[in-house]
Amino acid sequence: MIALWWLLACGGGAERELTVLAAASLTDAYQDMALAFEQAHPGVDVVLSVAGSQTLATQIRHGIGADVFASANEAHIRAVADEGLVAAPRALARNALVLAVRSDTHPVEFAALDEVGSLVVGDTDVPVGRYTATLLDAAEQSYGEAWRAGVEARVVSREPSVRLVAAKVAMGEADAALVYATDARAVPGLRAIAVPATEQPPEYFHARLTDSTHPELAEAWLAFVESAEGQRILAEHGFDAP
Amino acid sequence: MSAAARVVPIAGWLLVVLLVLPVIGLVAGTAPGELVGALGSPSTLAALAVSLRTTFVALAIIILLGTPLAWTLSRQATHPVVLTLVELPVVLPPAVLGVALLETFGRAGWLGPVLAGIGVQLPFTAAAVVLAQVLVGAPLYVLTATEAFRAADDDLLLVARTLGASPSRAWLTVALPAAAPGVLSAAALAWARALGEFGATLMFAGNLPGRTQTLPLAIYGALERDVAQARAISVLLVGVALALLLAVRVLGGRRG
Repeated sequence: MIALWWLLACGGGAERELTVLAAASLTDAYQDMALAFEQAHPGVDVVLSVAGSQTLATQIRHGIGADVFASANEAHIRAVADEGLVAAPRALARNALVLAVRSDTHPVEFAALDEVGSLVVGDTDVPVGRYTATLLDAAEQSYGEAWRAGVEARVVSREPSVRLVAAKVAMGEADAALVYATDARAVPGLRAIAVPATEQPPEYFHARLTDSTHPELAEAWLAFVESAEGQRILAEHGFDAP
Repeated sequence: MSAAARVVPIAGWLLVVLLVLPVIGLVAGTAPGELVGALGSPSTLAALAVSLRTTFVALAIIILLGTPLAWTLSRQATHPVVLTLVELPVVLPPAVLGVALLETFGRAGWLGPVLAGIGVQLPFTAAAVVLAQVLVGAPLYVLTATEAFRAADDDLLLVARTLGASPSRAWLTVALPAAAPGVLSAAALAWARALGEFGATLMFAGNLPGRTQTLPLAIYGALERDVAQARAISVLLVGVALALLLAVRVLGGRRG
């Protein structure tokens, strides 16, 4: 048994490990971020754990033992901050919603969204789905109730992750999807079409976990993400400054 | 009693404890009020209905097609390649299986145009849910039922034939009763696996409440919204599975 435990435990090996819990849509940007951070801090190994923001919040509530939390919306990180599990959250980046279609098909106008063959959106349980609902609510004011009903009738799936939404269109199973601009950019074969801006764009927040075993390293990570270099990496992946 | 004789049962029970502890943790962490709330929510009931409807159709397909295969495999030394091919979907990660289903039966999949030609579009439909469930459940059924059918004695079948029974009657009265407990637990295993299917369903059938959202998908969605509700739906899923698996065991035990 002890030998088996050892088998699982070995393989790490770096002197200091920084565990970063990040929202799924930050995956690509944070992989680059981790590499740059490791270069700037020799001997530090950044471990990225990506999932939906609420799943990450749940893991924090159950004492997952991590150092930093980056959430795709404010509500989830405020909730764990109110429980004293993370320090005061700070904004790190913004995103935008876009309409994504396959780049080998005809572009679609957002105003004609009720005429696409099939539409995939995020489930309202996840941030991208809530931003989508907000966008459609606002658009209904301009295009009318019939347009909204038409759009809802085109929805063939409400996916629990923004990457799954994008994948369904990239694989050609659905005609259009509402995703973050960053995902439309990261997933090959997709074309992004602008949609009307909403009052509150998708905004990302991060904070240090209060039970972090490397608090000074966690703070260094937060500062690095907010620094000019961190923001440059985020911009490369299509994020806007907060 | 030798040391080994004492250690072996302890080691065995250790595994039982390990298997049961998370379920106890799940049930203990769920307040009765939460359970009632989850049971009363229309979205949970819709997911339960989708789950029950699709798994029963999947199980029927698995039994109808799997039984002849299991019987055939049990009557001869099975070629290892055939056995491995049947087992393969079990080792594939479900999400990969879902991608494989899309690339085969999806609109842009290689059979997509053929299916479209006869007016069939599988992705995002209940049929896609069933197909995913059949793929993960059937191997378990076929492998377990094959073992059960091996118990059927060829000599006894021959005796039944010489006494004037038709081949199908001999099979139904001699082979099937002998293998019944094993076949029943094969069906229970396949059904349980189909009920818990998540990854392939999400990839291939999507997630639309009332149409393709099964209980495991509803649980995953609820995890992003309200953990208490996710836990409560899970307890419901455990309860449904426990009731059916126990019923099959009791039924199988009586016949055996």
